[in-house]
Amino acid sequence: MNLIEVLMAALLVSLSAGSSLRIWSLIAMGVTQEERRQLLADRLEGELAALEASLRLQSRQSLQPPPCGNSAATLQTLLSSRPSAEGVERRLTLLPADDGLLLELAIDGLPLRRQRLLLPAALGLCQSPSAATGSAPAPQIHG
Amino acid sequence: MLSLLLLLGSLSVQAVSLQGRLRGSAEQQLQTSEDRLVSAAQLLVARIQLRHACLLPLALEQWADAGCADALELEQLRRGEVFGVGWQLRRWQPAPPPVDTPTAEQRLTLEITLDGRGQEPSRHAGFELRLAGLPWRVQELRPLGLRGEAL
Repeated sequence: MNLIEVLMAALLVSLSAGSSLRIWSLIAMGVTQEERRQLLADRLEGELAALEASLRLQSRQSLQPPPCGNSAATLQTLLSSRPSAEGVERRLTLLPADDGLLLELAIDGLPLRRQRLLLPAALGLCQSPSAATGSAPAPQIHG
Repeated sequence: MLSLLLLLGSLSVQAVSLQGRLRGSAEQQLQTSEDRLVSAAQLLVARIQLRHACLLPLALEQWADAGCADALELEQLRRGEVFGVGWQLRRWQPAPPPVDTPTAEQRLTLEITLDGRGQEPSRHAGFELRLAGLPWRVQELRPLGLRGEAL
């Protein structure tokens, strides 16, 4: 092996080692980003689960729910008063047509987002006005 | 030889990292489907509770004869759209009432399918609906089983 071959081999090894290190650092960065994304996604999931649990609890506590009509606005006030998890941005918008809310959860500066419709009538938080006054006919149950 | 080893090592770690990202992306897709399915179920149950309460305790097959919703309204209850994606009601089935003791509670299961979109598969989810009566009113809507399980 002459000097040129030795130099060429050394150059190749140093080039491949350099490239390899760059790839490894990129991968490490990607893994860190993915771990952070997962952590924040779990935070959103936790926030959603906590909100749902509080709605379930409220539904169980209301033996005679109020008539629907303005329930979404009441729910909006109630949920707005709850503190949200750190870094989680929460937005509650009243639906134009149904007595409901659009719940949006997001993390600042990241494309992570959850959105759900919350309809008090489907959550047991209100009942149809006719049922509330007891005027609705009692239907028959058919298996 | 050394350079080959370095290259192979980098490639295998890169493959593992890509797999993690794909898993994260699939998880995100599942959560999006879950949000749509839960929202569709709530929208449907709320509409029935508020506008067609007599359908609440009836099986889907009996809705047409119940006389409290016309054909167009029934069609709007059977399918709809949430967050720009179509959904269909596949099942609305009351559980048989207890034989020995009369109860003021009724349980139902419902199944909703979300239309597939682009490369996203069609997904479905089941829910349990608990009614209190009489007259029947919705007490709780609970998702059952897997989140947005692919068909």
